[in-house]
Amino acid sequence: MQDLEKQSELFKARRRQLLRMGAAGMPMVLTLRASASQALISQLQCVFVIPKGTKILVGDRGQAWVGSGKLRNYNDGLKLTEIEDFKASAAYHFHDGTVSENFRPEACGSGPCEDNWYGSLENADVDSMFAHLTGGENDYLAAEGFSGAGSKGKGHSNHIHCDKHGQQVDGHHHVIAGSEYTSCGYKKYGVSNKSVKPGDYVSENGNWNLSGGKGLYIELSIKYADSHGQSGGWPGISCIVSILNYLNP
Amino acid sequence: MAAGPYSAATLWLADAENLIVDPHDDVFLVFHKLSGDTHILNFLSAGILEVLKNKGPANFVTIANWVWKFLDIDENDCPIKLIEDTVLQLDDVGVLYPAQKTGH
Repeated sequence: MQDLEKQSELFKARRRQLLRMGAAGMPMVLTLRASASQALISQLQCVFVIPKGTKILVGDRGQAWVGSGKLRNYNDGLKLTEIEDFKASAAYHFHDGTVSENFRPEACGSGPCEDNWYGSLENADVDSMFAHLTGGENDYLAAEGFSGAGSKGKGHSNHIHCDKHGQQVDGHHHVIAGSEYTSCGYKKYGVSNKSVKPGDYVSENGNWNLSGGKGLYIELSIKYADSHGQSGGWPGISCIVSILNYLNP
Repeated sequence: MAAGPYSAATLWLADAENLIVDPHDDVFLVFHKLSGDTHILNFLSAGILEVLKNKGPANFVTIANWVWKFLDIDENDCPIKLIEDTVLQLDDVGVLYPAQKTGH
């Protein structure tokens, strides 16, 4: 019995010793890599998980919205009202030209509504654009881009709104002829709860090879880092910045 | 260092479904299926992982209370700063992650 107590005390003493070493800075986690022959570049090893519910909406002009609002892929494409709501509630907004071509959806076809088939959506966005500009730290809307969109907004009541088929719809998105859905002009990428290891997207010569939803998230992360560095709440940004610092010392 | 921004209010989760834990007395080998890496954890880091796997997301203070009780130790033995540092080390290797945005 005494031996057991003695062993127990010894066990606790060893644990306390380990904790003291931890408090002094000794790592509590050691990592073995899969290949001992592979050069280990610690900056490329970081991993992060994109928060649950996160989605990315990309427009055909390379604009993007990141948020957790409702946005589903239906048989007929994305629902116009959901696009509008998602854009209005998005946590982050990136302006035209941000997203590279390979992630962009096809633009909608030509016709009488060619220039403003999604005009109703753009108009609906005006208030949120103002909100971003007046206080939001997460807006990436270029000033010139805002001016253009704002001028559209002023003409809201006279605007012709069109669906994907070039059919006119009214200002509340009730379809006069055609569909409430669109399969062009916008594309949704689901990245909810995905684990991302950005180092996997860096080639041997140090270039990014980005594809899929996670690749798009990394691309937006890089754009975010260009503007904000590590500040702000963009999930995984410190991991991205550490890799950028490694690639561009 | 953490893999992303965090604050005292950040809730942390274990990537439980992607971890295989193999205990050897007070040393724990943890294989992470997503990264293919194997991590060697001591009783503290393994204890943090275990309470988060079983009890779900929690901030630093809650984790500390759980761990002190789970490991039968107190704040004198294991200051909360050590628990915070260990959580961040676990986050850095990808076996933990923040469950929500922190409002930075």
